[in-house]
Amino acid sequence: MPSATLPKQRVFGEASSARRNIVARPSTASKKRPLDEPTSSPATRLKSSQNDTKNKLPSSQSKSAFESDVLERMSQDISDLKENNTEKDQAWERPPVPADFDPAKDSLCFQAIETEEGTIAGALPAIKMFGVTEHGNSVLLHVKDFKHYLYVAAPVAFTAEDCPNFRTFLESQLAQQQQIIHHVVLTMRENIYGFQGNIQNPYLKISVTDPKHINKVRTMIERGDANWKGMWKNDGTGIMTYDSIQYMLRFMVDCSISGMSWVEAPAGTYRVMKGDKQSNCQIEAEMSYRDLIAHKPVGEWSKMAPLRILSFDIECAGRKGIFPEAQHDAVIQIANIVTKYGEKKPFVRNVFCLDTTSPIVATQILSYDDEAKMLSAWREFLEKVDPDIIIGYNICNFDFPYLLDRAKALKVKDFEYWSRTKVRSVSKETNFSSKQMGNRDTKATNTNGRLQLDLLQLVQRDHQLRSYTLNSVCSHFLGEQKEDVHYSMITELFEGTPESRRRLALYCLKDAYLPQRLMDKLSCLENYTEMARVTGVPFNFLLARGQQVKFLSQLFRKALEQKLVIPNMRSESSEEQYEGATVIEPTRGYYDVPIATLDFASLYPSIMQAHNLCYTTLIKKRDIERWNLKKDEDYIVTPNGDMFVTVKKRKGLLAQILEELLSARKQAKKELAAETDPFKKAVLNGRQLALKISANSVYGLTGATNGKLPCLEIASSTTAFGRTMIERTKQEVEARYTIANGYTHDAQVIYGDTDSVMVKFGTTELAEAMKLGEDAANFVSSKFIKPIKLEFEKVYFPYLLINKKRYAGLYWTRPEKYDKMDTKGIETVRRDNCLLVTTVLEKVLRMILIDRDVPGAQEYVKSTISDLLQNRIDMSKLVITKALTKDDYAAKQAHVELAQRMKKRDAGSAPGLGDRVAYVMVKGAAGSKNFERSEDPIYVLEHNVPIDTKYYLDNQLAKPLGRIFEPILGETKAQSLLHGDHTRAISIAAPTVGGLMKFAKKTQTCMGCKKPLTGKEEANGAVCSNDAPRIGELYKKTLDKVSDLEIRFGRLWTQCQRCQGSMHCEVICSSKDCPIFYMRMKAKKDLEDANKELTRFDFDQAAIW
Amino acid sequence: MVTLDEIADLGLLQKPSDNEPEPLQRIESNYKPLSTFILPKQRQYQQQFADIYFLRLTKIKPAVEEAAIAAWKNTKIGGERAKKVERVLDVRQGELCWVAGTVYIDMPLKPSILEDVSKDRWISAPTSVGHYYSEDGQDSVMLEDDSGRIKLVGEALKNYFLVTGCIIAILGTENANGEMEVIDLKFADLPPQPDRWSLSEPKPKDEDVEMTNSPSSGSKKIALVSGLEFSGTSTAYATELNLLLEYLLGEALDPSVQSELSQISRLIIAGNSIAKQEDAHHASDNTKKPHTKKYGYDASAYNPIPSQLLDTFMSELLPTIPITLLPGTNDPANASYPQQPIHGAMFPKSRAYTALPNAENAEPGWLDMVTNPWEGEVEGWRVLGTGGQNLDDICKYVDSADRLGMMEAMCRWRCSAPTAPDTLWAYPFQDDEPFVMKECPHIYFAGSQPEFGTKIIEGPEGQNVRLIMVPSFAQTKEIVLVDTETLDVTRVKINV
Repeated sequence: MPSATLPKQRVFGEASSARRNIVARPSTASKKRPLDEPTSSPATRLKSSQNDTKNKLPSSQSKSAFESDVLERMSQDISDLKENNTEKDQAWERPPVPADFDPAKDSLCFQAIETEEGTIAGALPAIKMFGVTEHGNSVLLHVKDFKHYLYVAAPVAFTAEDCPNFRTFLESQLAQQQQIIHHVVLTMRENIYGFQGNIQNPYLKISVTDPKHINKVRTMIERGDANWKGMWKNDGTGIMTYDSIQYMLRFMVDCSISGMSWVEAPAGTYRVMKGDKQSNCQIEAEMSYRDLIAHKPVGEWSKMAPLRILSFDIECAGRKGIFPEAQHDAVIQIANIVTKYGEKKPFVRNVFCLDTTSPIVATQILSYDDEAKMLSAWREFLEKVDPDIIIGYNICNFDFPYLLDRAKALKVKDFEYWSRTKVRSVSKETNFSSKQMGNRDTKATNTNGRLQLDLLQLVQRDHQLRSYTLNSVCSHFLGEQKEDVHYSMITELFEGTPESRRRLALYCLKDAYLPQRLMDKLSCLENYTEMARVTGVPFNFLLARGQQVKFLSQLFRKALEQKLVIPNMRSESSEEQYEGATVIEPTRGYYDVPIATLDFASLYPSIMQAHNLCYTTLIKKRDIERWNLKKDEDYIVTPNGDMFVTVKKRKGLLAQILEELLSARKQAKKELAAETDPFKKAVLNGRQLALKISANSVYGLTGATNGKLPCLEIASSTTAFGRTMIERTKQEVEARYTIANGYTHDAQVIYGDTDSVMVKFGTTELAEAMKLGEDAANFVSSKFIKPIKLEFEKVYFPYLLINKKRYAGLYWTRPEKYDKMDTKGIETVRRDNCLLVTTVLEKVLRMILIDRDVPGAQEYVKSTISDLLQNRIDMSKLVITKALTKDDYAAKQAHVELAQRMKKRDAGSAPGLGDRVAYVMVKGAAGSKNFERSEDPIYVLEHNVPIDTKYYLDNQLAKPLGRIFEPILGETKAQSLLHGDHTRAISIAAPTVGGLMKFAKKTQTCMGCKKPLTGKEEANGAVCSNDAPRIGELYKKTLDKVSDLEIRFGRLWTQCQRCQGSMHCEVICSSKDCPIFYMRMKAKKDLEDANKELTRFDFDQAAIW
Repeated sequence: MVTLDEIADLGLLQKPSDNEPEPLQRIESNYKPLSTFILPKQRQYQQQFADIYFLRLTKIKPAVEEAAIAAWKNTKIGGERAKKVERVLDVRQGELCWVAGTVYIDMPLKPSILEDVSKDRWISAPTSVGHYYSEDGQDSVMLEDDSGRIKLVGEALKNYFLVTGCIIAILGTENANGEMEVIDLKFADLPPQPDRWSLSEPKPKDEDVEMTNSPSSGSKKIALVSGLEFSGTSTAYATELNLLLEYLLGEALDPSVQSELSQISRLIIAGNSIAKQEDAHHASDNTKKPHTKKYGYDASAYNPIPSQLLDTFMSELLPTIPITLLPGTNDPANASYPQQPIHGAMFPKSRAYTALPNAENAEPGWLDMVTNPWEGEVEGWRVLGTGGQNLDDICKYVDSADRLGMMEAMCRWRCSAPTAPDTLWAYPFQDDEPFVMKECPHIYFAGSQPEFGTKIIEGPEGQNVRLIMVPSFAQTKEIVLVDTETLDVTRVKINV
């Protein structure tokens, strides 16, 4: 019997309204059986002449060649695969250390991925450097003997002989048991801050035995408690110390090691540790910092070691309606994908599962019946596979802490050893605060020796998106939708059969694989590695810390070369503001002629270079007199009134840094163009990006008043120069390109912003505009000091200038074909806009700019508005989503109110904290507030609640549309888009809930004239007697609607099947970010309703007789 | 003086024959439609499509497995005997095995609604792509059941037509990439065939006996036509349509042909009786708009002429010949498979000949408006016919012009619309999957085809199926006659 051979299909019960799209079957699954048995009555009438049972379609090719080639190869493969099954035999371990490895003869060379402070042999301070050799062996190198130090300016009378005495004095002031001060030496240094006349002054370098004492010593000195013999003048503000920097960075700076670079311990200089190992690295060694060789990450040393990257994801079985909590809810699956850097395919794919789970192709399934056992098995896997980088999506805030908390709740022994050392992993609350990214509460879990890359954090940091769910991020970058299983569904799948658990495992595996693919797609690893190499900071700093540390690392490196010391300035955040970039007032409008855009290449860096703006060149009036400097020869006065010495006196440090960065970028770009290997290409591209970003961030940090080393003189002078240059460019261009000078038109600068100027040369020829642009760029560049350079990059044609920082245009770099449509500052990504706004704006801009069809665009807007008012817009386009982050907002907000209302309706399915709430605005009682009129889209669908189309028109569409059309049509005409004929026809859904509906009596109306059908004859029919002749037409109209919806229904649900990768399983995805989620729900209901309408014709007298 | 008799010899005009012509009697039709594809009036749409695939697999899999066992039970490769595997996911690497499941073909060119939505295109528009297969080999074939799916590779696949939704068994082994190397594949082959007259009785042989045996009148015939494409705007082939009408009414040609025509017992119209409406839809296909755009429903956009013309055409035929009317893509019926009968509301004249509406177990009317696909017994033969969409959709999967071969494949797969619901819109069946051929038809036709074609295929148990591609009349001016005794097929071309 067939029923015996096929498993029963699983039926899912109803768990939450988030999955209300999954229907409770009207009847049970058992109805599928018994199956019709084929009635076997072979036709006897037709003669059967064919006995050949091989009915091939179309006739198959001869089998002989096939047998000899394919089958033989295959039987070979079969026996091979028997031995090496990818489902069972995935090698987890690293390759062993070469047997002939000899510390006396071989040097130890590895890529250092992480550096941390630690101790060795009891309490001796040492730097731990974790890394991977070229052969893929993991290394921990302890670097000893490096002493941390600080500088303090030596008093006038201080001599070299005083050093030992001063040291003794310091020790006595500190009054500690052991020795703290290592030594004190008198050296010649120069203060970085302000021009010192190129004279070095005596400074005391005080080194300490243990880096942990450095701050004690520093504060003691700064407070004036170490004022030996009162030699320092103390005016009450304390004594300035210099070179305040973290021990590890000090070490990296002094040894010129940058993050993610290769280091080498020459043969014979290091000792391999055996019994006293502190880690589970394959090779652990110790050495002195003096023998360590740091390779600059260029040429051969820009390679990457075969780093092991683990991408993982966990699934938890939550309870109904509650987001999983580690105290109660089990971890049921952990999917892992391990890839070696440089290889395309992962070499480990597995899922740790609780309970039996059916196998997955080429994936190892490890089933456990006990959660604690599974967790400790996973930890063993982690140690064995020994990843260098752990990646995932939202692992920092969810997966890591959850696993740790869960293991604690289950009392799994030694679960928390995830690091390479014997340090437990703990997850801590941290607060990340940066001027660039704002404040953010995160959790951090230490995995010493292993890097972490949370793709969520990374994408949030580097990209502006509508939504940051894995689903929408993937659809944005990888162009594919991902099945989204609601967490309440997970428990149900888990409690089902091995097959349903397999389905869950597949889902989990996909979620583990996507971060890896995202990382590859975005070249994150390469970009961040190069950023670490360029700026010199360790890899982990890049995600965990802000911009400043990168800049400081560069500054310290440069300062060390030039024997400069950096003052430890107390950071005081002042509200002092300086004037920013200038904006040439835009001449708003729609330009149907080419607009050339002239850009200053790296404007601020080049200003700082050109005018030698730096800490080291800043000079005060007093000093000018002191050294008798001449204006414009020895120093300049910036438009801002600040003074800096010229290159003649001293070349600024920042200028040097910038010069290096920019020339390195040029070099990287050159190499990039020549490179063919995709992996090396990614590295080089990452490098040029990193160099560009670092160069541009220099300016910002001099202006950061709460930073380590602010210097507003530099920042405000830079912007002041920028402003004059923009103005100057405008003057030069408008003065030169005139009819008087023999040009066809008078050029006009219509807009300028920060580092670009838009010029209307007046010509209608694209090629001509490009030539003039090129010419103008060269002409204006020649007026400025090198390396300031005005570049001609692109032409906008046509160009729609809406306002400051708001414009759109077609972007041309060659006259044959436009490159893209470029928009700035126009609502396309803001999330509190519904999708309708985005699509309408995009389409309107496309029509105006690409098709040059302004009347068409107007027509399109009108018909969209008409569709909106007649309720024909798909609801998914009207949904607005907001995250429910906390319960008590001070002001009432639509999504919070809705969440509360939903909780009252059905506590189990209401969105919880952290969920995204999706809502639409519905018609409310007169005078009700906006926040009272938000409603759950699914509820709206089910109950036919009328949408507040006016809200969408006035609050969502009106403003952005007005902005686009006003420059083109003028204010009055633009307004007419929102009022007019097309807004007259309105249709409102009749709700099935609320208010008077309880008392309403339903009467069918004529489909032609809407007259109520009250007569006995016509009550069940479709049309009134007057419209009877139109019956064919009206039937066709209703029918077309049905057909339309049928196609929708079919396309939508088959799409979901394709997306989930199975035709036989029910779609359980509830991704609210998916553009078709509401559409498919609506299609169901609409189709049923439309069919009901259609059946009315069966009872209509006019249609039958 | 030339007499008429003399002229007659020249083959020109003839004088009326002396003997009074026998009044010709249209032969009676033996006809029993089946309700296989009738949907309930109150249609549910809460269910999903997974059920269709599940039902189809459950129904066809046993037959496929039977065929597979017969073919492969002794197959050995490299000393290893092929093992049967129950579910797709039980396939293990390095094992020679065979397994049955549903084919899914992943094709990047399949129209994607996600793309259409993101580009704000009209999503119910008919698919514009000519085909789904891609020339550069981006398509991949998978086999799946409710346990999972596996990718199929291997030369063997190229020997067969394969489309999404057909049920096959494959013999092979999983390679290191987790793909299945296919060595051979099998399908269910033709289902059991019922005997002639298994559902209906031949009409009592009373006074007609003489006539049917009379030498002048050959055996009974059924006429098949499709793609009449009555149009509200074009009159390009109006003459041919008129001639067709006269031909079927027996008003044309000479008495001998007329008497032959009297043997046509039934006309089956297989879809697309109405021409595709030009510029019909207003919705978002809105680059160019008429100036007098109305916002909202525009009643004047409806052109009633095509259905009126069809109505007239049928009402003139109906007094003499019964008609079975299948809807097609362009006809006023719902869009998804199975298309339900065209409503009487469209045919005020002809609907008088239909069976009583809303009546239970009524005799089929003289005009029988049926579903597409449709199944029934005509002259005792089991007939399965479609408007052609099922065949057209399959053609988009395969880079081949062998449409008859694809019709044959459908029979051998035992599925009349395998690509529903993946690319052919379909009703989400839940309790029954009517596209599964439970019984083998004697005649299987598909309407609205670019050209005429026919062949007989045979099954392992002696089943014989007559396949007919009914050409579109508007394009070819051809109709098809099927002899109801020999099942021979002739094609009649209407030439002006």
